[in-house]
Amino acid sequence: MSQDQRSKILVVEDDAPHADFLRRTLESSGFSIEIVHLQIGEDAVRYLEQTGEYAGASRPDLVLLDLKLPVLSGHEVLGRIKANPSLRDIPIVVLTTSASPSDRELAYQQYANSVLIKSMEFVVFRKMISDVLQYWLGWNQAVVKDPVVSGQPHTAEQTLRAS
Amino acid sequence: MDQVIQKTRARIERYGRLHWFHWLAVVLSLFLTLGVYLTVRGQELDRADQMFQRESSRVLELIQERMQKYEDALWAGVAMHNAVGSELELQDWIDYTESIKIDKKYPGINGIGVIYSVDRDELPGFLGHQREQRPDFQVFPEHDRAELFPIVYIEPSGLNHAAIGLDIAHEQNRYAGAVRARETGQAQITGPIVLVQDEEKTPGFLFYAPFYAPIAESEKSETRSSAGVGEFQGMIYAPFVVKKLMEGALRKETRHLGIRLSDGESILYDELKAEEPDFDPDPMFSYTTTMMMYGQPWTISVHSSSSFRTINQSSKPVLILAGGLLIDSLLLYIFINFAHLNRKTLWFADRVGSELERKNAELEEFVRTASHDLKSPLCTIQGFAGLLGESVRAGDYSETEEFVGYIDRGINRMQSNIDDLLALSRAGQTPNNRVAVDPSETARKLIDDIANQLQGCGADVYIQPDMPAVLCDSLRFSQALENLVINATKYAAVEGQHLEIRIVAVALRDMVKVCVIDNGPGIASEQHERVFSLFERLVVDGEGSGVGLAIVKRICEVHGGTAGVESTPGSGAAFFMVLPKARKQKLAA
Repeated sequence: MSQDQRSKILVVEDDAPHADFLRRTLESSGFSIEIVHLQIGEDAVRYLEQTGEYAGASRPDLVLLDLKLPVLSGHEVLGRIKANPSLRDIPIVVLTTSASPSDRELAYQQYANSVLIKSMEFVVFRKMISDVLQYWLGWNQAVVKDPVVSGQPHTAEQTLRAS
Repeated sequence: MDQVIQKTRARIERYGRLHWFHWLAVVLSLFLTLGVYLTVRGQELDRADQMFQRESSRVLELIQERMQKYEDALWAGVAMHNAVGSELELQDWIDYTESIKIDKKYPGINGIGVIYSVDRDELPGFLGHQREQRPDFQVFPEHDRAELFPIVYIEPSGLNHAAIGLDIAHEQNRYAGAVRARETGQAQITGPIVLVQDEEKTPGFLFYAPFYAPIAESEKSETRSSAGVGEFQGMIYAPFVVKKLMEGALRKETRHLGIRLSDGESILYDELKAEEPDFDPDPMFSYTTTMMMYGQPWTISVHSSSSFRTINQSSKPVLILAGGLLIDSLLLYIFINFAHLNRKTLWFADRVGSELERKNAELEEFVRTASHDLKSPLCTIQGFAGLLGESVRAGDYSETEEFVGYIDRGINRMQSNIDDLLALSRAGQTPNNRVAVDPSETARKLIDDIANQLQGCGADVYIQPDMPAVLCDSLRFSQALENLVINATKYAAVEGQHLEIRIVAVALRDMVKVCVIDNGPGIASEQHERVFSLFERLVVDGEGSGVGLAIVKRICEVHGGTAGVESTPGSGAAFFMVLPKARKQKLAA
């Protein structure tokens, strides 16, 4: 598979250990991906807008966004991206530990493409990540190797139900 | 449960207004008061009316009784005259009048006397006869009538001297009364006259009882034509000054009435005038009657006097009315107050309710934040434990140490988060040991305690020496101040710039604003509120857990104050606490 076929995922997560775990989970999903990790919301906005030090950054195929971020919160980042006409079609999946309905409702009101509550169980969490990738990137690439998660290839419908 | 609350609330709300039954109770009570008042007033008036009736009929009876008594005295005189015959001497008359004790028994009359009927042609003989005993006896004044009625005796003579010899036929009223007595054979009184012996010239009258010559048995059948008796000889009479009569008959002190006595148009006696001490210009009761009094029509008017009013003006009905109205007002007041109390209760319940709602929302937010920040490291721990398990099962130990390191750090973070939450919880407890705290002293002690930390970041601290005292829990104030100073050392330190921290305070009206000012990079205004939220940090992977400022805020809030920050990015930040000002008390550091 060529470099061009790799899907680019922007992970916005301030908690470095958790970001590392997420990176490992994404990499083990069997998809051909390139991961960019940013800890600060402001950086994420600038990255997507390709301004400042991110002037030459390429546009990601998917953004995984944490809600609890310092300075600019996840909600603010989401709002700013979706308010920008040239960025609003980038799929943004909110990953949060918050079970608060208000958080979820606000995120959907801000046009989040999906809001997922992180599972505490390792296996379920990995399945969830795999489903997300299958749904948002599956059209673009075939599974290059057997995913760690066993089972049938995922359908969009199943992923939606999972979310 | 909600339904029960709603129903109870609706009920209290209903009782927050006055309803028809409240007004009905008040109106019924008013009617009852009015009814009792009118009944009692009616009873009192009835009682007064009865008293008036009693007293006024007593007055009439007394006048009649008194007149009857005088009449008896006159008839006794007639009997005396008849017994003696025509030879009645002056001494006989004096004896008689003394025997009946006029001054004591008949206090109303001036005297009692004898009038003879004399034909004009018999006058010389009559005068001659009288002058045998009283040489200066005169009959006066002159008049044209054929018959003369001279007063022959009147005793006591001293008082009545002017009347001896007076011919009463000279004046119409005296004459008419005499003729009436003669014709009827009954005691009669004259119309109003002024007695010659009354120096005050007040109204009076004469009271006559006629006497006739005895007739022989043989003449009886012929002469009893008109009067049925013998020839008219004269009259026993008594002159009355009405004023004396009334005073003798009816002592003013024993009655509560005013009396006016009139004979036709002439007023004989009058107490119904403003000069009378007991006169009531607007009498409660009055009564007027006309009766024939010995041939004269007497009109007697009786009015209740002011002493009557005093006796009968009972304050009972007014007291009942006032008491009743007072009770009615109290009833209304109680109803209104009760309704007001209900409204107040409702207001209070609503306030407590909304306060609870606010607290609940706060709590929810707290739980949300806390659960996120507890779950977040847990998620990482679980993840790496999962990865560790997989790699061990696959016999790959290359990353084991790294995974265990992550797990270890995650556990530490959870531990620290739990500690922070407990600290926040403690900070939020109601302070029950509030004392006057000197912020300057507290700051000095604090700086000593964290001197090493301050040296580590090379910070200079200035403490205002005379900060106004605050009223709070001294330990918690110290903790809040420490959090602010530590916060400054963590986030305000910029490489290449010397960190300066100033602790100052200013007194507001009844609060004190204690500020910790740094010369750091400052904070954007949109972050001012957020920095005080739980687990909020403005930097990634910094030292703090994001609970320090939340604790400061919570400590201020439980003391009835606030916490905040004023800052312009690039020119430092001033974190402040507003706490109640202490009155002059012993200071604790």
